[in-house]
Amino acid sequence: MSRIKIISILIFLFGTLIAKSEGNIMFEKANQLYHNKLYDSASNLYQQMINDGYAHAELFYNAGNAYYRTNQIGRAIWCYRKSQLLNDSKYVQDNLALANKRIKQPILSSSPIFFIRWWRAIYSLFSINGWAIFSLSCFFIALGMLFLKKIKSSIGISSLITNTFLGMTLIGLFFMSVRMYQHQYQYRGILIGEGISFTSNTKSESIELNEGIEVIYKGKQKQGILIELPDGRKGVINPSYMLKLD
Amino acid sequence: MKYILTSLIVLFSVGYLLAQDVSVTTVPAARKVGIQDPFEVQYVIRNARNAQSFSLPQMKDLQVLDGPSRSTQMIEVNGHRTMIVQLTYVFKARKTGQVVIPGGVVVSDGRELKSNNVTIEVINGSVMSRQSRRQQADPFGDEDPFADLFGDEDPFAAMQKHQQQMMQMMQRQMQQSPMAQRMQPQQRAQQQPSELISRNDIANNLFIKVNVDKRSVMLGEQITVSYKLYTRLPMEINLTKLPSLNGFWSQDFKLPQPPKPVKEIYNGKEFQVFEIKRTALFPTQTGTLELDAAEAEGIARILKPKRVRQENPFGDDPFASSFFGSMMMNDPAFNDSYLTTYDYEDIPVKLKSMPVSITVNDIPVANRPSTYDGAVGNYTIESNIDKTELTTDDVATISFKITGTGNLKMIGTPVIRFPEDIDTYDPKVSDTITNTNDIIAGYKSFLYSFTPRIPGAFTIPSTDFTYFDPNLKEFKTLTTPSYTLHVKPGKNENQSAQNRLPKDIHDINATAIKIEKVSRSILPASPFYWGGFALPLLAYIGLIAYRKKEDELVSNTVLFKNKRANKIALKRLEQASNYLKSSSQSEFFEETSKAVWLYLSDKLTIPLSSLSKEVAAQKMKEKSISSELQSELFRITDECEMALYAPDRGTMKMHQTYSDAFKLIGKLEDELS
Repeated sequence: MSRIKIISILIFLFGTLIAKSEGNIMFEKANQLYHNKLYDSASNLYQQMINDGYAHAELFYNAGNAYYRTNQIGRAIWCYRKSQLLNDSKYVQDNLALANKRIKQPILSSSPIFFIRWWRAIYSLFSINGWAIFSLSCFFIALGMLFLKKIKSSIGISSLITNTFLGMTLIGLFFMSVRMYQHQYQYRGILIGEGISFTSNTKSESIELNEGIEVIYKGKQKQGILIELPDGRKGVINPSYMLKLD
Repeated sequence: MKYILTSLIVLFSVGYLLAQDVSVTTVPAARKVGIQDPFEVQYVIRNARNAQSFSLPQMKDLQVLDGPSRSTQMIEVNGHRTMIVQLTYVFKARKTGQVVIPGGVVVSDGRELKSNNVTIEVINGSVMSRQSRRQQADPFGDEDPFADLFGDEDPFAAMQKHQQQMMQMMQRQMQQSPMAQRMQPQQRAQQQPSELISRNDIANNLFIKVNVDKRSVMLGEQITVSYKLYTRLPMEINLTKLPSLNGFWSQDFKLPQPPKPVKEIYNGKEFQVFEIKRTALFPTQTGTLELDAAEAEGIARILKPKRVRQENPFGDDPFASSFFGSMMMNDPAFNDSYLTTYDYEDIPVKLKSMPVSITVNDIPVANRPSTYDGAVGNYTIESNIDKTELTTDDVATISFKITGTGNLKMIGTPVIRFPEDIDTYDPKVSDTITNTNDIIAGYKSFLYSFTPRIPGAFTIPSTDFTYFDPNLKEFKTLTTPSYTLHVKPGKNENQSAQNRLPKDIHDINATAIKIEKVSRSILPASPFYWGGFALPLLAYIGLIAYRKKEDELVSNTVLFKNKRANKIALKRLEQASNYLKSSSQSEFFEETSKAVWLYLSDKLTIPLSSLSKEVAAQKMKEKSISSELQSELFRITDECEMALYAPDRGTMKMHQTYSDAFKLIGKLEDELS
């Protein structure tokens, strides 16, 4: 019985090792293709890795470069933004700015009111999982304090601290649910493709958007999906034009 | 138009009428008129300084409609002054057939002078309509017959117009013979032909010739091409097609305005030569290039002798003989009664130059420096910088000026290798080309504006400019000096540093990194996450519950004991009553004492070990039991103890103690519960 267990554990470990090395081999191959200026092949390989579920700030960064070189600005911006969400760096910012400059008709974002900005800054401090871990950690600390108090009443822990941690737990859970709501119902995305027809909600006229613009998903509609442009306009596009960001 | 012949004849006459003698000539506007047509007749009086009167004889065949209108002209030729008075009458014929226009009579210095009679033919109807048609088609009119063919927007039309103007200037140039000046604009006289040129011979007397200074050149080397119009005829020529200079960059030279005809002997004949166009050509491609033909259209005027029967009373007039003699003396048909006059004929002509082919050789590849960018000629370069001490807010400018001769226009912009942290703007290029001489010369200037992004010291390296010298057949490289810049931070330095973007994207990160699959599941979706909350919470609740139970248990034993104390006490008292019945005195008192003390111990939670009168008293005090009950209690316990050590108190006493103890426990029970 115990021998079977050991063997199965070994197989599992080996399997994960193979999987890991495969990811790195592909990444190195793609980098090599990139340096040989075979940007198309490189971008295909990076994309395959992304599709397979590999995720790393550098993977997205490199993929963004390959797309930039092949003039797929929408996908390049998507990759840079993904990389930025995982690990922001000067390089990504620069490349993203360069890619943004190449959007044919960029739409400038209308700056929201300060409290909306603060609100966004706070909840986007952590990802869903970040907030989840944050609130769980606060909960552990608070409970630990309560345990100690219960077991040894002589330890002087102010109930204020304990309550603060409990409160932070609740705040964490609150922001986590906000982010989950957005993840599910109001996520961001990048427009991809040529000739994206956008039917404005207020005026029923149709305009054409260029790829690379970051939009917010606002819900489903009969004709497609409702999105919000950076300048606040809302309208409907075909769902195939939007690549989900988070 | 009817004046033309008149003027022609007048013109011809002029050259021969240099004598100071007074003379009068009758000049009809036409030799053939309709009976309905008014026609002009001019009486030209020369040197009539002293003329007193002019009169016409009686005319029965002619009617004077208008006149005389008078014009006077002074001409100076070789120091001799000639005065010409021209009197113009408008006549109308009264009959058809041969009509004689009689000569006018001038009285000068008391002498009468009569001009010649001229016979004209008068026909029925009118010749005016025909003439007016001809007038419309008059090539010498101000109206250009070709103007309608070319729209204003056509660039070629502009060129055309220019050419036309030039030709008109030429025309005027030719008219600057003294006699012509008095003529009305449409009366353009032509130069006198020294010989008669037949219609078939026009091509030999009017043509366009292309002169090329070189026929084999290097790419970019200058070729000078000139288009010349050779003529021995009066003409009005407009260029209709300029050669398309495919494969060349061309630069026209300025030609004198108006163009001056030059006399040139060609094939043994003297020609008037007009330079229509002189162009410097710089080939931009190699191989055999062809300069297409230049084409021109217009009208050439040839003269035709015409014999007219004429009464000539001045047959031996020296004027008349000298007038016609030079040309007609050998004419066997010439005699006194027949006068040969000239008619003209305007012949439309189309001229075409011969195409010229030019061989263009490529610039040698051997030893060609990498900086070579197509410049051919002979150049010098100057460079200049406006400031070397600047801040990050400033814009500085480096200027290059390439001066010299050659294909200036085709010089590419020299590339300055600016350091990375300097932002550059597109260079401004301007050129100034002078084309007055036979060489295209001038300068081309390049302005490079730049602004440093960050403070520090920078070096702008020297720049090479290479050109090919076609004479020496070698490349020459000129070098500009390098400049060192000292850049201080400006006011907007931080901002500019933030806004600074690299020219191209940063390279990919090729370091080996561990890339792993990341599950895209979110934590809150997993029950384990919520288990993380639930488990400690449950544990905590468990702890609380356990603690509570334990506390309860502790408090329960007390209660139990309390509750059972009474029962135990009563049981002991029952035992005591049994002893009472059997009259065993010491057992009875012992049992009673135990009942009381154990009751107290249970009730007041005093451990048996520390049970004493003092502790009991203290506890009872805490429980606020009345002092009477306390003293009662202690009386009973004392009694019991006394009875233990001093027995035989009698059964009555035992009964008394028993009932007292019973009552005491009941009272304590009431007080404590």
